[in-house]
Amino acid sequence: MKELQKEDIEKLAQLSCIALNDGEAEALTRAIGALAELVSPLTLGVLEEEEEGAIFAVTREDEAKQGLAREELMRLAPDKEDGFYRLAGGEALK
Amino acid sequence: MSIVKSSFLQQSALLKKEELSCLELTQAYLSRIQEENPKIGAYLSVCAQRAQAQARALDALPREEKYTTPLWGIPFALKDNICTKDLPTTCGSKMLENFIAPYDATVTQRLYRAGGVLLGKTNMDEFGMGNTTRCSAFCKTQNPIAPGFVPGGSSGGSAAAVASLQAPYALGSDTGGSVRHPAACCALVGLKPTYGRISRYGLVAFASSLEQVGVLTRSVLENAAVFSVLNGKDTRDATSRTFPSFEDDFFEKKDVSGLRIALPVELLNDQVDNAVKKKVLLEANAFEELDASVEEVHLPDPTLCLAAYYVISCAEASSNLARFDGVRYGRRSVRGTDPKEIFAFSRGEGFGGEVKKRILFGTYVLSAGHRDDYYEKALMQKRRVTKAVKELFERYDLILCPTAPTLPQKMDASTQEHFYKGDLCTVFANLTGIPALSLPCRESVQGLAVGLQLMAPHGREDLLYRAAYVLKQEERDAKL
Repeated sequence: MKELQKEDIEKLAQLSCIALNDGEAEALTRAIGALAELVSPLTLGVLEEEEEGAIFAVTREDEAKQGLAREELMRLAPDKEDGFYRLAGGEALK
Repeated sequence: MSIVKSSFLQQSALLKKEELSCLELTQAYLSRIQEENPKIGAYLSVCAQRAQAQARALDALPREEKYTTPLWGIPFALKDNICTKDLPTTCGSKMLENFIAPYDATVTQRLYRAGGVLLGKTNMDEFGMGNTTRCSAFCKTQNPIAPGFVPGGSSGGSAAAVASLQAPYALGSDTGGSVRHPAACCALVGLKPTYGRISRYGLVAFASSLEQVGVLTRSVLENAAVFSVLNGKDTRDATSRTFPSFEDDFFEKKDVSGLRIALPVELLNDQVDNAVKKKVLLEANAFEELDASVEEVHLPDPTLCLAAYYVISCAEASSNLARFDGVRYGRRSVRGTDPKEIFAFSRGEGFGGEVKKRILFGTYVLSAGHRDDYYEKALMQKRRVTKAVKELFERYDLILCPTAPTLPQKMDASTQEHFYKGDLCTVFANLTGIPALSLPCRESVQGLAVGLQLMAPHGREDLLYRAAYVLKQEERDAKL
């Protein structure tokens, strides 16, 4: 198994949408490396096919129900305008 | 004797006889919290005014509407990842520091309907990731029975609240041992129910396929009483199931003769401290003296199961925690000039180190080129151990083992290996969905509690409670 480098951690942080501070990437490289080492025995051995029908989706009837009130949910928003969530730089997306 | 020293079953009897009011009982606990919480750090928030208002409302009801359940009039605490309408739900994280939940979790609603009085929300490892409660963004929680040592985690605040008599019972959540481990550290009874028994609606998700709301109490009878109120299908949780009704008269069957108990050698080898092994084996001997049979068995390699747990839980965490982006609720960074930067800075500032580590690792194990080697193989291991445990339960009724392989850590210990190894004995129940109960061994080690873990087949919490009740002789004799 290839050892994780700082560049790998930075890429993972980008994929996970997490901005890392100075020094965090190095610390996380060591920490995640240790976790990868802990789970490495799992990577040995051959992947077996899953049994047919072992997992099935649980569904419910497609019935419309009253959800939480919009006002109740909008109350939690850090910033809002006219019933929309407002983010800086949104104009760039228009 | 201060009323907080009684069990809630004794308190319930006094309420029925009208020798105690709900308000008096609630105020006794609020005083206790005021006295003890500055030292212990069990609670993150206390809703004193609301609790007293709830208690007054219960006292004011006509008699025919009172005492409807064993929990009627009894105060309780909730781990801070269980939603409570109009109250903080922080998950121990700066990401949700000012988050006020817009709805009650199903478990919250069920406890209110049963006549419960909410005292407050308890400390926890951030988003449930940890087994010491040191990963909380807000404060450390002391072990009330062993100051200077951790209370276990991630439901350490709930365990500390119950162990220090700041709540008669508390709920936690258990993804890889997070109710059982603090139960073991604080000498409590801690249940992780069968997957699907107790609704997860309103439990902030960490690893949805593994976690359940769990119960922390000082006695087996109290634990069963809370479980019987929470248990039951909830259509708002698609993973919630109907099980045969729970027979809570297990304590009528006062023996375990003929019960077949399996002792997995892999959970009593050199990965477990000798001191822990010795105390757990004493309990196994006690079962034999009560005419249960105890036999050594083999379980799949625990280190592979631990690896599978960390891969699956981190993968699910990376997905579940993607919702925290500062847009609709939670922390939003003041930095960032476009949405993508706002997401990244909000998450960077809001999450602690352990959470970031697990999210990044989860992203890694799901990524192209690694998914087969990590995530798919972890699922394969999960299927294997589920099959092995199912086959074991064709020959045995219960599995007995330690709850934790080591004694509680010192508050300032920093060994990572020790940290992850703490889940070695508990992840089986989460991977397989079976119920598991931790109860204190009769002997501690230099004042540090040791937890005994019992595991039963799916839906058989009655077997866990029966065996635990018979074993805890002093409780049985006290006729709580």
